[in-house]
Amino acid sequence: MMPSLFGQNRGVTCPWAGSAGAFDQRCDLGGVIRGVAEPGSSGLWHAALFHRGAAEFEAQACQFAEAAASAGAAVLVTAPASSLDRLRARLDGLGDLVTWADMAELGANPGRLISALTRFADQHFGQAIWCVHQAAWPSRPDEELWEVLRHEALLNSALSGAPLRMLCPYDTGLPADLISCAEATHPVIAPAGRWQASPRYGEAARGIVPAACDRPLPAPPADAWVVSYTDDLRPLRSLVSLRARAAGLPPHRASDLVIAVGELAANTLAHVGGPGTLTTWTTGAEIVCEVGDGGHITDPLAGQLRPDPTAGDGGRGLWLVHQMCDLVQVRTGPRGTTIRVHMRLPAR
Amino acid sequence: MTVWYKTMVTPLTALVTVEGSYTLVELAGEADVTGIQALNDLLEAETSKGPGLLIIEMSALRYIDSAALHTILRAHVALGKAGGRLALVSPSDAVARVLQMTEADRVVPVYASIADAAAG
Repeated sequence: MMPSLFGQNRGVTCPWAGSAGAFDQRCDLGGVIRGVAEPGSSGLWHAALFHRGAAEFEAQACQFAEAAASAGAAVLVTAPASSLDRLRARLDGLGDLVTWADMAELGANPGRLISALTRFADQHFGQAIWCVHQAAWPSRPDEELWEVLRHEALLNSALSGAPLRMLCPYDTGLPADLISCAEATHPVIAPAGRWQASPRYGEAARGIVPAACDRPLPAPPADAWVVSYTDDLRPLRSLVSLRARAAGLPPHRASDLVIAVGELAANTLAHVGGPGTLTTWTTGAEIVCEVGDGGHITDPLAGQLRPDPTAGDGGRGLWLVHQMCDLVQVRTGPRGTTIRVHMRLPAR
Repeated sequence: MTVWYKTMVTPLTALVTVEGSYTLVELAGEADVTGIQALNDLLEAETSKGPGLLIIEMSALRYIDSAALHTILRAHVALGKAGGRLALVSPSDAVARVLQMTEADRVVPVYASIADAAAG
């Protein structure tokens, strides 16, 4: 049996050790997580749990959820369906105290997760929120995993004031560079059965995305379709619509892709003044559209926070892109911006 | 690489009808960032006439982007300040999707028909 990270008899220091709300005041956790040991303290507690296999994660997640429920916190479990089913069976007794969210739907695109967490916190205003947040798992494609790590980095600043405790499991079977990045994007880790400040955590505290998440995208295939635009965006939308339908994307999803790419190209005209280039291609599993222009998006959270519905100014374009697409990869800098959006095709 | 070119032109058109109790703007085609100046000019002109109710009929509008939506939301605010109201009618699926995802449909009322909008 794996030793528990949360048991009381091993000098363990963690926010949910012991009985409801009885936080261990002997904690010496260092400056980064000082608030953690103080009951009722506000602010984000964001921990990576490195585990071997599903059983170890599930045992820790169950203890976390049970402690959260007994402390009167609202509990959110965001995980892929396979984990959800097993955790649900084990946490049956907690009933309505736990909200379950399938990561494949909620966080298919990791760029939607911060707004989803914010919405949950708004719905439980005044309550502490404890969240089991499984966004990375070994069978998840690499390009999605790196966007998960970007999300993990950004939430440190975006949700820094939220009364939120997040337990983020990372299977040690994940690639080593990804595990290393998880250590850099989580202020708290437990390398030896004891929660402590992550020595690698630094820049992510200020919402700076690790360079590993920003590697250049692989080049499009040689048979991709290309259209340039300077003023009229209709040819671009027509091309996306035709290619999406030809690839077998269902009509409502094809329409979503047209909306997303239309917003990206409109941003070029509104903020850069043009020109831009659309490149689109299909793989066996998805249709991909890439928009490139000379602009520079300086806000790393652009499009990830729910816009004010009453505002009569901008801020909705990238939000729509993130809502419509299964994966959004933004690479931006002073020399230009490339945004690649992905839509999964139905299984044939 | 296959280079795509196509120059079919399907502009945004607007038909304006002034009825007894409301002004009706029927939009057709595609409303995007390239047409917002014209759309803004039209909505400002009609708003400045102080209609109690401005109805935008959208069933023939195949596409709207967020820039065009902002123009409509600004008209909504301007009308509200002047004591009037804006109503949207019969958005197509693609337009309704944008209204829903931006929650604009919680700010500006959306009706199934012009008669429903006129009845308030």
